[in-house]
Amino acid sequence: MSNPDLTVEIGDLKLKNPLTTASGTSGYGQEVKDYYDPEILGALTVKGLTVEPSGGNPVPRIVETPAGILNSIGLENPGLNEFKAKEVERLGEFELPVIVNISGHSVEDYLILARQLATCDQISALEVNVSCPNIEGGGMAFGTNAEQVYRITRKIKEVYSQTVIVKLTPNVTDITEVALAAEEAGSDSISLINTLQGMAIDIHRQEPVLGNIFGGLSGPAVKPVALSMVYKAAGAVDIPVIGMGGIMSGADALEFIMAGASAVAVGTGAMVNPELMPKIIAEIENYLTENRIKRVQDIIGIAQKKGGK
Amino acid sequence: MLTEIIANRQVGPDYYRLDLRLSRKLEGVRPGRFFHLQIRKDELISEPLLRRPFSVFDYSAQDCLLSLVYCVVGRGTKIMARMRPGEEVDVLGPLGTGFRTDFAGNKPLLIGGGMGTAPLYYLLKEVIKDNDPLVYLGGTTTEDMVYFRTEFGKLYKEFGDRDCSRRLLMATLDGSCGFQGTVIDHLQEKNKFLNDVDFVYCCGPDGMLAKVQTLAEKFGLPGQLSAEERMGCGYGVCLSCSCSTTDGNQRVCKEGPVFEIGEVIFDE
Repeated sequence: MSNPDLTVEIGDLKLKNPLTTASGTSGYGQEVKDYYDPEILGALTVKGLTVEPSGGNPVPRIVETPAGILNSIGLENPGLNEFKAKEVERLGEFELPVIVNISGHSVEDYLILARQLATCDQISALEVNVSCPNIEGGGMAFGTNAEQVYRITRKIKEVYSQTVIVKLTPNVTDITEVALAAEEAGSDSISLINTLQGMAIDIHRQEPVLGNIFGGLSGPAVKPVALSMVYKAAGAVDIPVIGMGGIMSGADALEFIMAGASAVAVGTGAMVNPELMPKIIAEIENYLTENRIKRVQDIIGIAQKKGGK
Repeated sequence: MLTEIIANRQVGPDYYRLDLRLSRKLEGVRPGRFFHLQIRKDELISEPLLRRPFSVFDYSAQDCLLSLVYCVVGRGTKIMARMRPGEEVDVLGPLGTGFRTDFAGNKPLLIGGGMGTAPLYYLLKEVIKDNDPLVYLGGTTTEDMVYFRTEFGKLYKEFGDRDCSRRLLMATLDGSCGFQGTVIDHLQEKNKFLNDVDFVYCCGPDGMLAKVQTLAEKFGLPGQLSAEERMGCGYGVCLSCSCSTTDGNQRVCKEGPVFEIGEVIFDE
């Protein structure tokens, strides 16, 4: 039997396999080169970008929790101008679709980013972050409100003609409501989940551990939650879904694919093991070969059919 | 890289020394760089999730032997203290920048505070060959200091200084070993050390680093500090360990942990 077909499509993007990086966990793809060739990925999703440079949140920005981590990086990034001057060219050297994650404090911020990045040939898609729990105003405040998600997505689609992916927060009552809002507004895809808000307290100092008090929970601890949200969202919309949340192995990735994700992103897993990505691709491929499945596309959402809705 | 535990023994009240055999020789294992240890046994186990960073205490390229000295402070290090010879540990590294040894003159001063002393042993080993280094270590009690004092003393002896009491100085808060007080108190009191040296290295708590930086700048001394911050990835992608410097935010794990004196902006 020939090698299984791992290709998937997200909007106009053709991915050679379903794996991408979760924004903010692989920088701009340069640091990971010491461990693997980023071009083996289906797509590269880079660090969250804001219009103005951001120094991020006060330290400590990370704390370990049971089977997970809480982070409150706060979108530290060089800002749009420096990103365009220093990173875009280098990103263009990668032979794979590059997805830029954008974040803002106002609708206008998102539009500035979308208009400016529309002029960069090196960038194939935008992931619209309306779900960051770590910034004041904007971020998650947009993503928890279906009307706001609709409005932002609609406006971005007016100024950005390529693939738009809206990244959703799990910190909502009904994930299908925001997923549908993004779809109705014309988004080409949705990605989920961003981190779940959480906190940790240092009992010796008797104060919150994180400098920002609250952070976003990720890692294996959130996987069952993420999976159920992907299952529900993918069941509700017709656009492709990028699933993420605690993926540490090919088996985890396959669970998301079977729940309905066309592609999957790995964040925390790659942070703790930079050599994980090639392993996950190989494990997905092996699973398909062993089970005589010709195309990964054949099992996208397969558990939906069996599980009913 | 998978390594094998050769020894993991207690060397102080909460201090342990972990000796690891690397599966192959590694390039660039320099003083001041660090290794990121996976504490969970293997990929099938999710806990504890984050790796833990430890600076190189000693390294023998010939035997592929890496030694780390760590202090049991939390869950990760408690689990580490239970690890036994023969078990395997996954390590990432060497990571970060190391100390440079291209300073002018031949009298470097190495200042260590508590656990921050660990990377200075391998540094001393390198600079003692061609220089006349002065080491000043600070701790809370004698017990904290015994292991480092013994090991540093042996190194001096190996290089011909049998009585290294004038080149290996101690300060303890309880006064049970060396000067009573902090290293900083003593340095301020006896400016002569700072007048006599060419270069300053320091690794210790933030407060110590900040004061050493101020003193070094006052005396016009070049030098380097090894900073510490809670880390996530250890290889520069997650930006958990950002620190403010005169050149904007820098990553302790990538541009650091070793920074030039004057570079890091410490909180007041």
